[in-house]
Amino acid sequence: MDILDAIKRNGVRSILKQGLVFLGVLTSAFMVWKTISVFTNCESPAVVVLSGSMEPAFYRGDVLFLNNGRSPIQIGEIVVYKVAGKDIPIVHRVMRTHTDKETGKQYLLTKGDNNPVDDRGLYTKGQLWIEREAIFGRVYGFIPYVGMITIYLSDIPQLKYAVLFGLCLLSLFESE
Amino acid sequence: MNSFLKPITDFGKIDFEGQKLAENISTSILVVSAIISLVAGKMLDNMKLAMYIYLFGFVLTVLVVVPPYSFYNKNPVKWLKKSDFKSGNTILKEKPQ
Amino acid sequence: MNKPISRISSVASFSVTVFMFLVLAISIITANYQKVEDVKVNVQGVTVSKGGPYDYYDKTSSKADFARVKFDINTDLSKLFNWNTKQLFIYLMVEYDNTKNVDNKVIIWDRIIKRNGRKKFNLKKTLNKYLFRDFSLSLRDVKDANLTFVVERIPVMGFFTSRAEYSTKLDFPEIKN
Repeated sequence: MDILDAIKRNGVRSILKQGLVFLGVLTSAFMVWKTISVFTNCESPAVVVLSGSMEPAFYRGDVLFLNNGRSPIQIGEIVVYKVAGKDIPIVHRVMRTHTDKETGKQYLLTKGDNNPVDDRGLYTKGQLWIEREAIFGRVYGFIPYVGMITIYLSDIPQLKYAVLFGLCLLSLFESE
Repeated sequence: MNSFLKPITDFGKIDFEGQKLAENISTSILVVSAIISLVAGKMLDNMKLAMYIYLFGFVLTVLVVVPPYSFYNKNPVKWLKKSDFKSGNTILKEKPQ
Repeated sequence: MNKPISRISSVASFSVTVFMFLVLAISIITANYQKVEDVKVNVQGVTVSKGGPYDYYDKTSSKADFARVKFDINTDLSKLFNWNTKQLFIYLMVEYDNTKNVDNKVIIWDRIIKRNGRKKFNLKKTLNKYLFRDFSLSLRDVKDANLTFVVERIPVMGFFTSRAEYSTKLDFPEIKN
């Protein structure tokens, strides 16, 4: 097979060198992602919409771009937040803000555009407001449909294996 | 196994001049269709049209560049024959790979 | 590039890169929009009453002050739809300070205007859609209340822009207790 020939010809060292190049590409992509995180002050500067609670503005599969400046949250902004104790991020609009002018402390109430009621049902029991600290991203832009690939890949695990298998097959046929 | 797969692995090979031509054609068609898409969308105020123009440009590029047309094979590589090495007419001084 | 498969992969990745730039260019070119010319919001009255409807989450609602704002809106938003506008999210918000030095902003009414929906409307004597009460129990300390009409533009792709189109002073009635 071509791979064994290639190993015999070039030695193990060249295979390792190829692996190093591949790792270099992966790590530089990772570095770019983390640098964007630093500039936007946001752990995940891009997220994919998973639920339909913000329709008709966002559908499942849209990609949202987030930043997280230190300024107080403005009313009407679409924010991404996590409720304490639950892992799912929620993307909804801020309907009410109460900001203390001196300390900057904010109490916020959110609601999805497509929901008839506000989010108090999603907060923890007894919690009526969320605070600035619970919000880890504010939406400033988005691209439609592009995130559908991640949704397909996570919904249909066979697809992931099919893609990996296809890539392996392709690399076998490469003679370089 | 190499020779067994040769018909498959050699399918669609084009020479170096053809590769350069293919790369230039694909770059120009894609960039031009992006520009046309932007201008047409702005002038005609139609987002769907802009997206379809770019999609059309992509499909056109694939159709023009991917199949091995004969105009990509106008300058085939001149491989040296075995006889060039035996009689000392060789151009290379080292052992051929 | 000598095999069709490597040509396909190179064309695919380059076309995606060019598409990213196209999306960025579209977003930047369509980022601003004209001011809405004729927005007329007319406040008919504000009433404050103690005690609101039963709220499963808010146990203090029976003791709190609730305000009702009656207003008219007359506007035409069709000029705001360009090739990159998916829909508009318009809302009326009340912003006010109170004596505890807290800045409050509350959305009392909103509507989604879709691209193929009605863009021109004339609502008369509408009440606020959402319950309007303060963070604390009373609305007695309200100062400098303003009613503002805001339009947020949701694009097909790109950046969100929002603009306050019209603002008017809101007079809260004296609450005697």
